[in-house]
Amino acid sequence: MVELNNVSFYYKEKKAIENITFSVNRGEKVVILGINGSGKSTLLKIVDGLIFPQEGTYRYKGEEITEKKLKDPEFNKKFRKEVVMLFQNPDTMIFNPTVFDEIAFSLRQLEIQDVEEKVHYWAEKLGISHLLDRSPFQLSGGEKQKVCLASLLSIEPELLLLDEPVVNLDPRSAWWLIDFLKGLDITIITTTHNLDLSVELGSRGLLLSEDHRLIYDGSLKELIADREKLLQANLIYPKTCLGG
Amino acid sequence: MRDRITALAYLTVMVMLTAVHQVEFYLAVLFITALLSGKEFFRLMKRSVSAVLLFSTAVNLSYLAVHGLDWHYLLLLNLRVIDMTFLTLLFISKVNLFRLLGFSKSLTYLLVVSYSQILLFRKYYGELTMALKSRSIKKPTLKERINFLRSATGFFIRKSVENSQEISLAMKSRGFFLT
Repeated sequence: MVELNNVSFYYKEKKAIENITFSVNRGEKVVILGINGSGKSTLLKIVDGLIFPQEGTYRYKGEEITEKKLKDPEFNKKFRKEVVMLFQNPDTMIFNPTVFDEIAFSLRQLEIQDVEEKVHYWAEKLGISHLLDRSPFQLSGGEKQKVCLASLLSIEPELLLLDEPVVNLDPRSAWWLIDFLKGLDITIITTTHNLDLSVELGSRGLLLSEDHRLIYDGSLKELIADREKLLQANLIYPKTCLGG
Repeated sequence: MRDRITALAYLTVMVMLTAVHQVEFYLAVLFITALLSGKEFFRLMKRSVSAVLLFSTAVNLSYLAVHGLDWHYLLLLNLRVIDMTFLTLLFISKVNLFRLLGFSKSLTYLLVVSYSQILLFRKYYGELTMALKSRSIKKPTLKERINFLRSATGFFIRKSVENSQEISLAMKSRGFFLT
């Protein structure tokens, strides 16, 4: 489904990711681990077609994703309907006057007939039915995230990208979100630096090193148990005791 | 010392730009600043034009609507605006503002706080536009764009207030207002 080959990206001269190669199959739940600034978000933005590899290629369902390709309205529509991304800060995603309109945004863009029905369905699924008439700006961080998630899922995407979804949540909301995500039957790529919660977010782990390279691709449980690898990525403090 | 002399020259030219109303003078300033900018000319000019485009268009159209076409005045007005903007951008690119304001603790802090806010807001703006792009299955309608602009404005105002309060408290906590 997703295929990155030797992808590198630089912000001006600053390296963000270097020579990254991996692929994700349909239905997989992949977790990208790495310290802040290791390139996790950049990687997600590439997969979401928001920025483009300066070296290497990114293919989605066999099609190379380039700026030119996404300028084709038909392809862009198909891609944006299938691939959605939840940004780390939900405030950046919200711009509609009410929660209802926020969830309905993409549905209306797709000119779907039963918008109201779908909005109510997803609002109920995410436990935000009572907020539909409220302004999304007045909600708490966790509620805003649920609104964004409802909006993204309402168009039934195939690939969900989550950028540090639990970083701004209290433990209760974080665990609620994890439970909710477990129930979704779609491909999910999540970035996080939270080792404890990462194993709940997927079964396969990708580890980015401090120098923006992929240094592990395999079982997430094995990765969490691999103290040397985590030390190499600076994800744990040398005195940290893992596994109790 | 070099920074202070540059700053003095900058302020002098800025005052002259507001006091002298001659196209020849504005063209001369533009020519000299263009020479001083060297290889940076095109980059700075592009930034200057994009910075004043909206403002100048609004002013020019308003002037045309009220007073009709007056080439001389419009040329004067636009040259002055572009001169001032280009000169300011050139000044900022040539001078280390932190060193320049080093004589005053308050001004240095003010600059540091403003600079950090600009960087932060630039990052937020990038995220906002990317989020819109990511969520837009097709080109947003005018209504959707207005909604986006309204919420982006609100977002920046809210963030400004929140950040200012936070920074002020942090500075207070570190004893800034005691000295």
